[in-house]
Amino acid sequence: MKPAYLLALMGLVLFACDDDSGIKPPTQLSGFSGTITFKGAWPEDTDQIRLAAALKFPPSTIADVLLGDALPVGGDSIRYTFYTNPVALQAVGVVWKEKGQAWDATNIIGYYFPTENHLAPGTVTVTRKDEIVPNIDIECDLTKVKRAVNSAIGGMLRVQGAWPAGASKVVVAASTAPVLPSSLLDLTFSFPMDAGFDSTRYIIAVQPGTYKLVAALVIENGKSIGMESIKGAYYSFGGIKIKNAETRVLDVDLTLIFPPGSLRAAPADKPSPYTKPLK
Amino acid sequence: MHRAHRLLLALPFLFAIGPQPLPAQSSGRISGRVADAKTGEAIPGANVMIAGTVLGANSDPEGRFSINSLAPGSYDLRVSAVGYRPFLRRSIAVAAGAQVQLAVALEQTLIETGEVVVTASKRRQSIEDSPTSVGVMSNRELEQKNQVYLDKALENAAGVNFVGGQINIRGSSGYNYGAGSRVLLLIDGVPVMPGDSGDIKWSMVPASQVDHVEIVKGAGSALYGSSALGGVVNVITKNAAVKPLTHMRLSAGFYDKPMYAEWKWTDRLLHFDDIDIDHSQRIGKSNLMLALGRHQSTGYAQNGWYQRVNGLFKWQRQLTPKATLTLSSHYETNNNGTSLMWRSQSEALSVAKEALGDRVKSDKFGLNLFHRWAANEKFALNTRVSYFRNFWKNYFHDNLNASQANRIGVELQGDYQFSNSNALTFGTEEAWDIVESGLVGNHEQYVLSGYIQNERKLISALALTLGARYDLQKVDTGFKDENLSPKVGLVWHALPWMTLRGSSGSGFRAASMSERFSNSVYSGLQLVPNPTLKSETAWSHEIGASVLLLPLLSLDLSAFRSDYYDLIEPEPTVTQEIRFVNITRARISGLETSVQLQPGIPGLSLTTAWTWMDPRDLDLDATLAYRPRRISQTTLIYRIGPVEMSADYRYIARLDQVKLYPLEDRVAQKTLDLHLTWHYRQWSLGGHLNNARNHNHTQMERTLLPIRNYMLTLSGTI
Repeated sequence: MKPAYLLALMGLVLFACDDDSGIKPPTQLSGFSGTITFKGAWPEDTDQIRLAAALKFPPSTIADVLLGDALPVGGDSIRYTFYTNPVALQAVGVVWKEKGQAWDATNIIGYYFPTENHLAPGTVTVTRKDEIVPNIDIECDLTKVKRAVNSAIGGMLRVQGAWPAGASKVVVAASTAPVLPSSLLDLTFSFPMDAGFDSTRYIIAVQPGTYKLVAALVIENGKSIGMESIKGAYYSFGGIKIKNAETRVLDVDLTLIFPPGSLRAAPADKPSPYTKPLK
Repeated sequence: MHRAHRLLLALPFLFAIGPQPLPAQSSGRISGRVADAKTGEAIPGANVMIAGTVLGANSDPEGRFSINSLAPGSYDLRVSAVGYRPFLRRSIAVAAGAQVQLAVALEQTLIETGEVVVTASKRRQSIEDSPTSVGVMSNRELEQKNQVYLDKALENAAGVNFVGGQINIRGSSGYNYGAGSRVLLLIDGVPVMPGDSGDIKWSMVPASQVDHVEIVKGAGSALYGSSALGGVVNVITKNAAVKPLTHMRLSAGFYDKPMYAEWKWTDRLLHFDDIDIDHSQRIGKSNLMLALGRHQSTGYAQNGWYQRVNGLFKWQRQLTPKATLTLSSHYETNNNGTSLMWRSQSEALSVAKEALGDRVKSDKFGLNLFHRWAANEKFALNTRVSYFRNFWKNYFHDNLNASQANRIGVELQGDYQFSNSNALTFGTEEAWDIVESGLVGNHEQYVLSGYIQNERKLISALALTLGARYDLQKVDTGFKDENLSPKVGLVWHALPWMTLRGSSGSGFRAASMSERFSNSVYSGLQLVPNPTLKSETAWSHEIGASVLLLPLLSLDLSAFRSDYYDLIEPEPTVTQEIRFVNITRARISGLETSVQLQPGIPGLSLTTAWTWMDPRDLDLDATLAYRPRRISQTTLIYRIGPVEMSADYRYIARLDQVKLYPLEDRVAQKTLDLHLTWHYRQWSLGGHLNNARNHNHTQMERTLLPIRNYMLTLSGTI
């Protein structure tokens, strides 16, 4: 066969074949589903709400968060299905967006809590390409929305002792709960900071209100957040008062004290060796 | 920033020293015509060099060239053009006041060899004498690929891939949201990087207006300064002809249906068309060229439409036997929709409903003045004065923004050829950027540079290159940065058929104004400023070998490694903000090979290139984002009589790491383009099938690349 004919034939064969090994619409649906219920009145400045699923919690970058499509606004409850490839998620929640502001995946108004412990988010694991994990129900508290503010709590975060080997990130959280926080929704978090520093400044953008507790949480590699993550705390019986959206209190210093040993927290009935004495 | 006034004041002086006439009788001239040995057709853009001198010329569209100001003596002439075997004529005797007329007939070869390049050393040199890897894409290849814009054509160059429109040479750039480039784009040797974004606008010069493209791989900062950290792309536009000549190229085409019914977003036929016309002629003592182009498309994806008009003007005049002046200008106005991210993988060719009306309007204008004064065979002084303006205004649903960046540049370059074996290139460069922008604010930046490079043959087969460049950058915020970029290179013509090369050089890139000051929304992501960004630096090393076994094959092998310090990369945050940060250490190492093979069947040739890379973030011990580990390109060409058939296949490995949506599907890129062209006299009629197998892939997240499309092209010369 002459080369020209051979090439033409090859071209025709190639032309006849579509290559379907590329990107394609999802055919097998995997993900999780459930019901979202809303408590409280819808704020007038609500722009959108979306489901957010975190690969790491608290997330450090947007790559740690899967954001769903916009959900309907204004109802009492929504049935939803969130499609994703098989994945292990450390947290699932609903994020709120204020009109005129950018998305902030930390502006969470409801988490998935599978148990009564509302201080650690529930994990969700999608294992197969055709699996929809059911009953991932979320209750949202519309009074917990966080608006864009200039108000903040901040200070120095110092470290005593050597960082434990498993330490990955540090976040600082502020709580408006009267005594101790009972839910992650009572907490406002700083940006996660890489572990390993001797001292650093932290800042948390907080809503106006009175904050009784500011705590540093040390997160272990591959683990999510929980009460046992608290390694240093600042209690204020009078409370840190954030009068308005411009109030900034930037002298709330914390110390993380790491004695030799592991990251494990002290039993709840004993004073934590890592906690700064009460003020 | 009153230095611009100083630059402008200096210009009359520079031109005054340029055209100093010498007595006409003291010099001779070599002129002639370069033509195809078989067909007799003119070969435009051929490089003509007088060995051991700074003198040379490019053939015009009629193949004519002229080299003046030759002192009486004997000269060796070398002529090369891509796709032809080099022509060497030794011992041409030139007498005082005489003109030597030559008819240069070049024989076609399917194996590329001996091209003359001007980018690697800022002067004419044979590609085999370059200590760094250089790729050349000829006008013929550009026509064969039949792509309207250069970025699509350059996808077939060895070691090159694109991510979201940003060029990567051996993985240099990654993807940084259009806010800077590690590859410097030159048009006719003049940088055209907008002062605000510092990235490359590929639509500025359509491929039909280009004579050839040179791609220098590895750190080019030792001669070109900032932005050349990962390489240099020099676009050489066509020269004006002496006789009136009009060239036109018309093309039109349409997109196929999407492979999946869910992706269909309209019942309309999605189409595109392009018109490019250029005309050149001699008026008085000047050669003029004017090119105009109009390009429009509905796009293959929703909101992917564009309308563009381009213009290119070139005026060349031999002021004196020793001095030539070239004035060139390019302009583009562009109105396009934006489809940066798909609505969902189920609707991969649709955009979010709220983004449906998003569009960008932009204008780019460049004006370059180039003066070359060859005092004698040994010394030439080149002066480049350039102005580049980039204006854009976006009309996005979530932001309205506009930006205007002006850049004025002046460069003085001296070429001194001490002897056949010793050449010195040196110069100074000043650039002044003025930016008024809703994106980055109002800023001014000043860069002053000096460079020197010496190439010396240690023995007849071994050449050593030593060079360095100093750059001083000042920004109106008080930021000041100084960088010294040294370079060393060795070329050893070990055997008549084998050349070994090695080079090592330092490079740097100052953060672009976008990276430092951006404060806007990009595709739903908030860009936030980081004024404390440091310049990134790198050491690049390469060893390579080229083997030429004519007429069977040519083979080029390279091993490369670049160590980056303070690499600037985008860092998305959880609040959907993107901020550019310095990664302390990164390294990209790899191997590259390219082979041209003529397997013995007349008219059949195969070119294939493979690049393996290991791009590492050494801090995180992870793969650098948006860098593939493997790239390969293969081109098969078969010419039989007036018919040329060709196939281009590109493979780019699946990206190991991306920044935004790491869980979403990513696949390797596998693109096959088929071309069939019929040549009749000065006319060509081509049929093209791009992405013939309709492979669906992304270069960055949530953006599908063009689906299968069909195109007809008619081009010719009147």
